[in-house]
Amino acid sequence: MFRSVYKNTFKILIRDKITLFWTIMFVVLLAIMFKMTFSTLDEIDKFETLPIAASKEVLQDEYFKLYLETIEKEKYIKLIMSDDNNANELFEKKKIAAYIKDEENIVVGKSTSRIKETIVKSLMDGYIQNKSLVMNILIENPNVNLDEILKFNTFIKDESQKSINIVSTYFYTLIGMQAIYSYLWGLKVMYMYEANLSTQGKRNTISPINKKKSILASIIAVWTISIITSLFCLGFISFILSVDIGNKLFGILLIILLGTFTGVSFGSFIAVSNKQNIEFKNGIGVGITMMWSFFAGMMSSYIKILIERYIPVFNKFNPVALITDGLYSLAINNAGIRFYENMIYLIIISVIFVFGTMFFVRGKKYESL
Amino acid sequence: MENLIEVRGLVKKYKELIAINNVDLDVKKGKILGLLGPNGSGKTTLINCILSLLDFNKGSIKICGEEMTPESYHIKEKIGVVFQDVGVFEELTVYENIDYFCSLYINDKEKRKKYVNGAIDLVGLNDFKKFVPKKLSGGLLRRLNIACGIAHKPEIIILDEPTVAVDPQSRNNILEGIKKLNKEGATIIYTSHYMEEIDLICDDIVILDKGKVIAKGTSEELKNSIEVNEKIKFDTKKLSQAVLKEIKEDKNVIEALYKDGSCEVIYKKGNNNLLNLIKTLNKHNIEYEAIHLSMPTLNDVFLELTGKDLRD
Ligand SMILES: Nc1ncnc2c1ncn2[C@@H]1O[C@H](COP(=O)(O)OP(=O)(O)OP(=O)(O)O)[C@@H](O)[C@H]1O
Ligand SMILES: [Mg+2]
Repeated sequence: MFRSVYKNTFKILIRDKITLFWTIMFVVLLAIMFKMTFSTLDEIDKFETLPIAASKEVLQDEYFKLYLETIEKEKYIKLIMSDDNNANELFEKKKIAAYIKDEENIVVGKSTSRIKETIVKSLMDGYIQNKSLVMNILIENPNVNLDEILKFNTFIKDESQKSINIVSTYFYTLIGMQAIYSYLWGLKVMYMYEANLSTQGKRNTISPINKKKSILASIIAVWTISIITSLFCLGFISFILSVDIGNKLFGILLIILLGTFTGVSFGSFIAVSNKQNIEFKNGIGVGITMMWSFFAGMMSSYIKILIERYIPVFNKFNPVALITDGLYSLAINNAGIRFYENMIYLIIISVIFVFGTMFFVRGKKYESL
Repeated sequence: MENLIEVRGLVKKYKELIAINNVDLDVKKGKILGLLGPNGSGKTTLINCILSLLDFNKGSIKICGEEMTPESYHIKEKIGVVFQDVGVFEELTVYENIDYFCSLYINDKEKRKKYVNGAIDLVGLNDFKKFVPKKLSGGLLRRLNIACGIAHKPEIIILDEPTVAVDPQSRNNILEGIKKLNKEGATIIYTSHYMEEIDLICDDIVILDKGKVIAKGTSEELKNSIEVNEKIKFDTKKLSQAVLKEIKEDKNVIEALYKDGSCEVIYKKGNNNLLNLIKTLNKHNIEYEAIHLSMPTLNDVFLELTGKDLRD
């Protein structure tokens, strides 16, 4: 019985082209749009050695020169000796990213990205702030590993990572939104089985088939559909749009499983928790999913940072944010506690929705139809 | 005769509104029971209570001698319902829809195939097997709705206004189908506010109004139970008030009306009603034509019991 219910529900709902369209194409189109918007930022995907020019005057400061040469050795920059005129020419040919006129006067090229600018400035700050320290160290040991002392490495790594992931985060949020869009399927299942929601529901309810088992089998069927659509979108974003989603397949799969289940249970909860018509319920679903996506940073990642700073608990109960953060923590190879914390919160949210749904359908007979 | 369904003292309230008010109902095995009542009289509510879909405030419902509950799966197996609203899946074809609902009752694939095709034959949807519901006309959709409810050959069939908004041809087709199911052994509850249909196919009739049973019996019994016995109608160009008054003075006449060249006289039971009328007309040299004599209808029963017309 379980198998035939599963098969039937799968067969019926996989033919629902409109819902399929919305859960797949909407996300695919948004992803393409994001890709087009962000494609100008592609250069920051990889951190490269920055070509930097320095004036003859500034290189007369031996310690500064030593400092620059040291970090050049570490392949953060490539140093080019130059003067004002020559620098202008190099800028025009886009041969350099910045020109160090003197310690406090750095010219950045018009076409230099913000990230590169930040990196150059922070390298300079690193020197100025720690000038005496740096000088002392360099005097004693010119071959010292400045990295260790000034923590450039982690800084630059973080900076470049962040830049990858600021772009990727938008796509992670999109994947999160798509998973929660599975609420549409959860909604449909409850409409199939609840006598006060549809005539099909009445028919199923008066049949000799155990309703709880049928609902369970059908929920699993739509969960399967959600997983397939989710993986499809993920594949599209990763392979066609070449967005980096990392290579932690197990983790990614876990996110998709839990994320789509949260979506499905969210939908079944919307379906049974109120007496509005189906259009209204769909409106609630879209509205809340959009709100979650917004606060997870789909429009601006700044929002997510703000929420994390001021009301961190909000995004703990925002499944889109949890999925986004889960994928992010996988991508930056930080799949430890942070990842599992996100997954646990997803489980908590789905359990709440499942119990909420059970609370509303627990009655065996209806008060009114 | 054995009662398949027994309802006793049923009361169902929706908040303040009493939708079913102390209803008793007996459905005899092998019969077609007609549930006749105007819109809002409680037909659908009564059916939903019988099916254990709706909770009720008082009373008991027994099917096949057993208390009906949502878990009475072995009773549910025997029941087929055609709900008032069409309930089919847009994503499935005619055949697949019937097969889906039949599969809730029949596991065996071969048997099911036979049953589904049988149901398609019965409602005459053979040319539309591969159609999706959207492509069906209103009448055909109703037929599909019926097929979905009865394909598993249930012993008890409940039909809630299956012919609403259906053209006369489809309606006849549906009524014939129902009679056929009954001949094959099914016990049927048929609700409608079309008295002609009820009169035509039902063995027993229960008339509901405002949640109460106001009369029950066979069509004959119901019609005999009322004062109205026959109605005579004739056309005449002119009929003076004096003559109309004289017609009304007959002790058997309940009411006589003249309007737009047509006169209707309603009689109680009695002998020679027609003869007396003709005598009166002849006495005053009134020319009449198209004289028409009719027996009371269920509408007259309803009218006499409630003071209002069944068809509003
Ligand atoms: N869910 C509900 N909540 C409140 N009142 C209801 C509900 N369903 C029906 N009613 C009321 O109960 C009464 C009986 O309704 P019901 O649908 O049983 O009538 P019906 O005889 O089937 O009418 P129709 O011929 O229009 O189908 C009506 O007055 C109706 O307004
Ligand atoms: Mg009704």
